[in-house]
Amino acid sequence: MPDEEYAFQMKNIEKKYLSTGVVANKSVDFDGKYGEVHSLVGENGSGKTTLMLVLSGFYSPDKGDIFIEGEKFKFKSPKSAIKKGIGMVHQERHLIPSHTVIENILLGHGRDRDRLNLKEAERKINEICNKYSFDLDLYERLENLSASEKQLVEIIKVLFHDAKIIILDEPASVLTPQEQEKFLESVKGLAEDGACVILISHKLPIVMNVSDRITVLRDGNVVNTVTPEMTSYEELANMMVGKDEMFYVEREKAKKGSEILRVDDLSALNDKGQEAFNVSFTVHENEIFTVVGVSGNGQRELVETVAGLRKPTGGKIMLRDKDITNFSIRDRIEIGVEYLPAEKILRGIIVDFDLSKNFAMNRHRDRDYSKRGIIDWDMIKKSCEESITDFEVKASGIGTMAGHLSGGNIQKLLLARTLTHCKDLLIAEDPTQGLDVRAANFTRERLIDFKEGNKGVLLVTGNLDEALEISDRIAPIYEGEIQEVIPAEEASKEKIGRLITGSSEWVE
Amino acid sequence: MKLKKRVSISDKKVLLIAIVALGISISLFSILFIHADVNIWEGYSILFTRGFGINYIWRTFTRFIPLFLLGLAFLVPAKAKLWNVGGFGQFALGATGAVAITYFLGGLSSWAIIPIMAIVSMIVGMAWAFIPAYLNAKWDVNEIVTTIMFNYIAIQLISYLTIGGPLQEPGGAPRTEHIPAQAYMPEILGTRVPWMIIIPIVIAIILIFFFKRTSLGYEIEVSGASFTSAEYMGVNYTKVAVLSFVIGGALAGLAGFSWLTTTVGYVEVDIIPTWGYMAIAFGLFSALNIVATAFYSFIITGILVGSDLIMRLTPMGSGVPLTLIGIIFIVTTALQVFRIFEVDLRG
Repeated sequence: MPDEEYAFQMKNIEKKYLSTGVVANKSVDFDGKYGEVHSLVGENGSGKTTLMLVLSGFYSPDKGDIFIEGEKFKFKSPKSAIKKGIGMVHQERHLIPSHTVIENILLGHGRDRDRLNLKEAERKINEICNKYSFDLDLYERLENLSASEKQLVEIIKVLFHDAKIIILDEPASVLTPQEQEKFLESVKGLAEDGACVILISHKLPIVMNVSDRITVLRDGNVVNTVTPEMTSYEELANMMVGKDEMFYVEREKAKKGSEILRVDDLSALNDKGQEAFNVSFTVHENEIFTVVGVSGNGQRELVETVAGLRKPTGGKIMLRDKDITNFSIRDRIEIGVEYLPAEKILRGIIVDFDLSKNFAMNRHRDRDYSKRGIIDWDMIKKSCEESITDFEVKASGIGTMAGHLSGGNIQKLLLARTLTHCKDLLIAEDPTQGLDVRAANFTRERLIDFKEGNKGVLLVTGNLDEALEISDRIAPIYEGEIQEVIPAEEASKEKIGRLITGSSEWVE
Repeated sequence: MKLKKRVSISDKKVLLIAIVALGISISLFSILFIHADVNIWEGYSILFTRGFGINYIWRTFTRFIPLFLLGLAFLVPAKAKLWNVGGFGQFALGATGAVAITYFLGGLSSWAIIPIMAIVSMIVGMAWAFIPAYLNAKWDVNEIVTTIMFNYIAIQLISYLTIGGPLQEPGGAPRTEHIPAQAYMPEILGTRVPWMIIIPIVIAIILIFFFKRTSLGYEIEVSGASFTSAEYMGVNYTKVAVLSFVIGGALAGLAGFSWLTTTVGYVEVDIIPTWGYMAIAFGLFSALNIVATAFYSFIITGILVGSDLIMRLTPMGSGVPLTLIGIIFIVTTALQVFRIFEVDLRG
């Protein structure tokens, strides 16, 4: 029976996806109380996000009931959920790039008032920012913001709408370590203020740190609900994955080969027209060279410049003694450079295309798949089928629309397309961001397999553990400059942490 | 019973919806017949024999050519998510260009003058489409706005050329001279169907191949589906945008040439058909499918031609063709909802 002690209760929720026939939630019970942080953990595809989309009115459940403060409620739309004080911060950002921060926050808010009061709104937003120490320029356009800043906008938006039940879907995945810490304080603060916070995360340390209760989902079922005191990392991880699995990728001592990529004094501007970075480095055969840093320190621009999406303002890019600085993207692909983008959905795939048509991206002009401008679709389909089996993409066939795949499977599709065709150098940008433990490990293993075929990987990541785990050499970047290049054996989390935050300057 | 959102839809069902929509529209025509005291049987029999009957179908074929070409002129840029609303202007100027070239080369034989006129009409259509396309690709100027504006400019330009301007028939009406006799489109022997009918069919087949099989066609489709993905693939957006748009312009220009050489043989501002706007609906109804666009173009042209005759043979007024087309458009548009939703009888 519904209980008024709870902020909300979800009972026997079942939700099936029409598109794939996948049952995302099978009779799930879940609840939250005011003043607590209740975490929802589980692998990608375990049904966490679906469950929360049901709670926030985006989906109506096939079966089951939702009670808000003990009262049975049927949401017709996200709007009716917002009215009930439920706010969700999405993993995929729903923001308008060409609008300013304040406009995005106010989006959809003006309806119940006579007119927009910008001054009043600005005051309220500033209050929120001060309270939780968020640092944002309210009049900056969204397109000029870093991923973490965009995340903050989403969070402020929910707070601005006076949500009492706040759902955070993977909020920490795009935040820098300092921001993360600050952010976790804010999350705890929200709960202390009396809000009910639901946190969806893969990051167990975070979950263990902030949660009052933790519920583990696996394959659409609740495995258990525990408190941090009752459990351990191992137990949680086991509940998520279902069996004991190796969490760390095995590594051997790298046999460094000849030089593949040489970047000399390379620089480029960011979208605001300021110099984003100025770097020199090399990547060798059989090597993962990792540029690690807090997002917003020029990594994105660096990746885009090496991949050919951004024009350099100075310096040189050499691939095996060939100057490719002014090569087009297509020419770079031909000579052996592939780019695995962090923006998987925006750049890497087309949601309305099926898998084979997605597989054709960048392959559509490869010699193996096209002759004189005519695409050989039979070859593409055959190769697509082979590689999605090889890369364990879970889909009902190559005719599946890419938009119906889960985040992990989209990444596997991208890996299948780029790794199988990359001849020399892979540029991997935050390749495990937003993935669950298993998919992330899968990605890392594949990257290591790849480089062992006498190829090079330029990895750019914000994840220190990942950098330490799979890199051969690590280059911490801070404010657009590589601080030092450290061989993996000599690297430590403390040292890199110091370098990417610029704190080394203060120490010295 | 309730509506459920579809995950996907088969080609068969799309066709079924189209046919049901046409069926409903055509049955609704009976209300008009009753209202105008026209015998229903007579009304329908005129509509179908004159629109699709073996003795009269040449008329439908003749008009189908420009309408289908205009449908394609909308469809090709639309694959790259660019909306060419300028079919009308490209059509009008294409026809005018084809007339103008006969002022210089009027003495040539059919074999020479007809292809030259066709090429000129395409070049003029392309040029007229190029400007909005370039403005869009370079500075992101909205192509819907510019192409509509360019339709008005085209009409003013033709007015200038034909009313007291260099193309006006000397001492005659405010229009161009007639094209020379040998410049009219010849008919397939034994029928009254113009030879031109081959051209849109060949073009359609080439376009189907182009979009299904070529790397460039794929790039156009990618640009339409996701600008950021196209950027990631290094697709030259300026090239794709301009190319797809000028192909559209060329097809609209060619439609103008077809209209000119299969009908009146001169250009006058007041008689230029506004089919360019109607053809946009063909592309939209068919969800940018080339075969479906041909289907819609043909059926609607037939009804247009048939209803022309209803207007002449019965006491019904001059608005009949447009009223019937209007009914088809409204019903077809309304039934598009079933392409997105399906009826769940159990719910």
